[in-house]
Amino acid sequence: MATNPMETPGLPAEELARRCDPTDLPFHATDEIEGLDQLIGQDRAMDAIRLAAEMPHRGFNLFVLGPTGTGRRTAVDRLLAEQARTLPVPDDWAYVNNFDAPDKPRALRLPPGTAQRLRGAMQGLVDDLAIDIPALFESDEYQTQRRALDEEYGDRQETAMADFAEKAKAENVALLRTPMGFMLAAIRDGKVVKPEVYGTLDEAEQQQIDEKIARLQEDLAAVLREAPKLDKELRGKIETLHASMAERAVSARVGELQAEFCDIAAVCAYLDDVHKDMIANAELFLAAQASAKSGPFPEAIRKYHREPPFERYVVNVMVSREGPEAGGAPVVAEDLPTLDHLAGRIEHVSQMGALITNFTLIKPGALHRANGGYLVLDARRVLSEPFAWEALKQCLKNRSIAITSMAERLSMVSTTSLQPDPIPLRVRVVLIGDRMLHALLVMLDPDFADLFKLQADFEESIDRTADTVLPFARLIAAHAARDGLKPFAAAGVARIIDEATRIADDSKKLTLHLGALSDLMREADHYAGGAGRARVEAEDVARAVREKERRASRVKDRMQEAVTRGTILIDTDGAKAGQVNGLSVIGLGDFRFGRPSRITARCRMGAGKLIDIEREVELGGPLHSKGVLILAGYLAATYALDAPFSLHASLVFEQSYGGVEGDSASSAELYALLSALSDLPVAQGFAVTGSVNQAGEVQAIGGVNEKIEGFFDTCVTRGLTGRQGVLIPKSNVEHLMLRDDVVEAARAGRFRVIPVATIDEGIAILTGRAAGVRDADGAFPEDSVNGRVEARLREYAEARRRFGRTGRGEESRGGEGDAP
Amino acid sequence: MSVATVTRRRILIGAGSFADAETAIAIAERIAEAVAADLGGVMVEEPDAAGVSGLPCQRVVTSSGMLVVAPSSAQMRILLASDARAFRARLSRVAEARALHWSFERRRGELVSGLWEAARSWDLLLLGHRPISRRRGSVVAILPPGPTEIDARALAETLASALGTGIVTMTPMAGTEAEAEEALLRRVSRTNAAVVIVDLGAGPVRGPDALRRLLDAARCPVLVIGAGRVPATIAHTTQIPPAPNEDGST
Repeated sequence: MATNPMETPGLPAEELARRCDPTDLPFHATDEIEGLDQLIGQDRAMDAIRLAAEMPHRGFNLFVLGPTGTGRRTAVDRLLAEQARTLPVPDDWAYVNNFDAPDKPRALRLPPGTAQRLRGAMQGLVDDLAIDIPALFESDEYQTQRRALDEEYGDRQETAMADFAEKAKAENVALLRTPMGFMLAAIRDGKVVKPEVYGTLDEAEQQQIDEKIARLQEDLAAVLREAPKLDKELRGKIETLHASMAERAVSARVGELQAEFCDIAAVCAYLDDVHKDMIANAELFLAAQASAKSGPFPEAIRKYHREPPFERYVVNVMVSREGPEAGGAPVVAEDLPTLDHLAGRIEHVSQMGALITNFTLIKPGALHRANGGYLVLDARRVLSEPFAWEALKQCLKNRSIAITSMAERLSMVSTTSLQPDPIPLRVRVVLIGDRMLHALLVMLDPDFADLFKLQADFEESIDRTADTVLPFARLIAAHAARDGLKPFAAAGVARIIDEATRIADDSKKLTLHLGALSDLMREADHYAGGAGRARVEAEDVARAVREKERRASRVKDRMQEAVTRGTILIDTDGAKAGQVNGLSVIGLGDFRFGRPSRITARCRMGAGKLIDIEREVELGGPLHSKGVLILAGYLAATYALDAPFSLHASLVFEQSYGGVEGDSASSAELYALLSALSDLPVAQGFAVTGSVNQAGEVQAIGGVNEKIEGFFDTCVTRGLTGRQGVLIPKSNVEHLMLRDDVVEAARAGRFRVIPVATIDEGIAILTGRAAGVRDADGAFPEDSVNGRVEARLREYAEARRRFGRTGRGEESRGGEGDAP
Repeated sequence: MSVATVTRRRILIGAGSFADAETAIAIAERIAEAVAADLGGVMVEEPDAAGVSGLPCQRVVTSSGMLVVAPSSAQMRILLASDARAFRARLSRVAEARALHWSFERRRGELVSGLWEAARSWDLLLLGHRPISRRRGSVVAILPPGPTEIDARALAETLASALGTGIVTMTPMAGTEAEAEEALLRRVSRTNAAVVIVDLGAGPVRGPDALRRLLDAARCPVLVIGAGRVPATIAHTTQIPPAPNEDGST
């Protein structure tokens, strides 16, 4: 350390940023090397994906976690596709009518490629029979038999009535028609016997008439009662005739299908049912033929199978493969995993104001399409779609796909619905999401661990070593080739590697956020093209970095302007007690920038209370509050241990109107407090970052580069004096990856980045006075920072003691308790 | 089968009850679909039917074969009045649906005799009869060998097409009129007919009595062509006084 702590030199320029030397790369441009078309540094995650793809056992579904842009999706797609090609093509599935219970459609499992063939065959069957059956019923053979039946039964009834009529006539009885029915009346002398005539007849004759009328009434009733019986008998005969006629046509056609599909038992059983149903419902084909005569197309080319009456014979294909030549199992990605899109749905159509459905309105979901293979889903989307997650879990648990609509689950709509046969499910589900989602699912969903036994955790960075730089360069080469970009010169590659380190926030790491690098490469390629270069050079990459920052830095520029114009009060020169330049980082999407904030501390005698104004007004987050409480602990445990802690101090981020979170400013707050207590001014040319623990050690923070650059930009605007710099935690030195202009300023001695390990180191640099170490008597040197702080705290304690002795009543008169 | 082109016809429907009229109106409706027509309805209340209901053993046999107590004379009047209203309402509904002229009246007397005179100013007389069987019967056409004033064959074809049934053509056999009639009635009686079309010019059905016997034998509506235009046969024993002179002297 220099004699004057303020003169402490900063880090050498070489330590402020790690630069890749293009000459270290064994190529001139990426077109000279073989691209590496796979991820690097993700072995753990890749092994997990392979395991999930290969494991046949249930429950080994996979959750791929990690940030976006790390190539998760690409890796999953590639590995699953590779494994899928080695698996057999899964079976087809179709729903067909359950003729016995139409509300419970039957699921047919069919060999690959068969479902579409069966559907076509059934359509052909319907079209053929719609012509064959009516033709058969119009044939002379049918007409003759039908006419014979009609005549036979018609004549039987008429003969019975004719016989009765003759008998009545023979017995001189007339058949009269009345509004209620028939009445029989005796005839005498050619006239109907009326009551007045009947009364004049002798008893024997009356009896004879009565007996005759009564007997014939019974006979007529018997004849008329026979009519419905004859009708029923005739209907039976006609049905038998129809069935025998239809059976001949149906058997011939269905037999052809059975021969074609004879090796599939399920299809044969279904065709048996179709055979019976078609015979029983032959009139459907007759009706279709009748309506066909008014249609626009000749009956020979009319598609009868499209007409509603023949929906009962539809083969509703849920999923169909191209056959064994399709090669492997499916890999299905569902980008909108709603309940319906996942598990399928049962649609309804409006008919006469009512919603109706049937098995032809069953629509497949992603689970149907992925059955026998892999289903890739975005975890956040699945979880955000109502009931989708529950349905997915239910299907995986039951190992079958049951279709239940959301309306049915919520009991919102009361209408006809179906209970289709569940389709057995054998699928490997791959969820892709972030770590937070994974953690929440592990904690909150008891089923998750059982259903998703595997996790593929993608790294965000790899070590930047001599072994990794070349593969990384090959990765860049592969991306350039894949995206059709110009070759990248070695300098361009080196610049991208440096940017990868910068994004990783660590000079010893390379980021694996390949998406961000790809964007950068594409933009650099664009600028290279604009400049007429055949290769992308370092300056193109640098321009792309600059332009990206420029596009996003409107807010940053406005804040900088506010500092320059004095709207936001920041000192970059001089010295003030109780005032320190803290540093914070503001993030807007993937763009982050640092800015200085004035932190001030004020203190007086009190009861040992440290007020964090940010917390009092609820602008401070919990981590910030934690930092403040830690520094209070540091003060209490470091100074005046034999006296009551009698400080009342307040800390604030001046002109901060948004929230403050994080503890990276806790060291700055402590410096401000020590300055206020010691009444020693702090050099305002410095800005400070770093958190502090109760032992006074300065700890690493995030965003160190942005913070340094933020203060550097402010100093540049005000003018670099050579007395300016930033105090950073020593443990952050290896994270430094600063901009070139900062590095050059440091190299020229106009700006310093000074690492500190302890608060004592830092306060010495800021005040220019040694912090002081307790001597053998346990006392700090009197004029040291610590000595002045301890003295001040003892004064407070003494004042407080005196105040307590004089009593509360004197408080209003005295003012002894006030801070000096 | 083509629909025959027939000029405007006036059709008189006669029945003793609504049950009889209903079937006849349906037939008339089919004819009106094919040709322009005016419809007339006559509800004839037969005193015989009302008279016999007072006999002690009298029952009514319904169309379904049930035996029920015969209505009293008063009840019968109520029933007939109700049937007449239903007859009129149905006739008007059918006619107004096709913008046809229509008329309706009630008469008392024997059905066929009552209609015989009334039918003089009508082209066709349609006598109603309730159906005995629900089975579809044929259109029976009793036609003379030669052409008729109205093309009865075309009418039969129109009706057969509309009813979706076939035609049974009957030509009176040679011989005496009584023999021919008996043979014809026997054949008609044993044929399941939807309607019988008869051209009175062809014989042997010529007068109201023969027409009544035909209606009883057919047990279905009878469509009469030329009713009222055939002079009633008069027994040869009847003395016909010479027509009076204009001054009233004979």
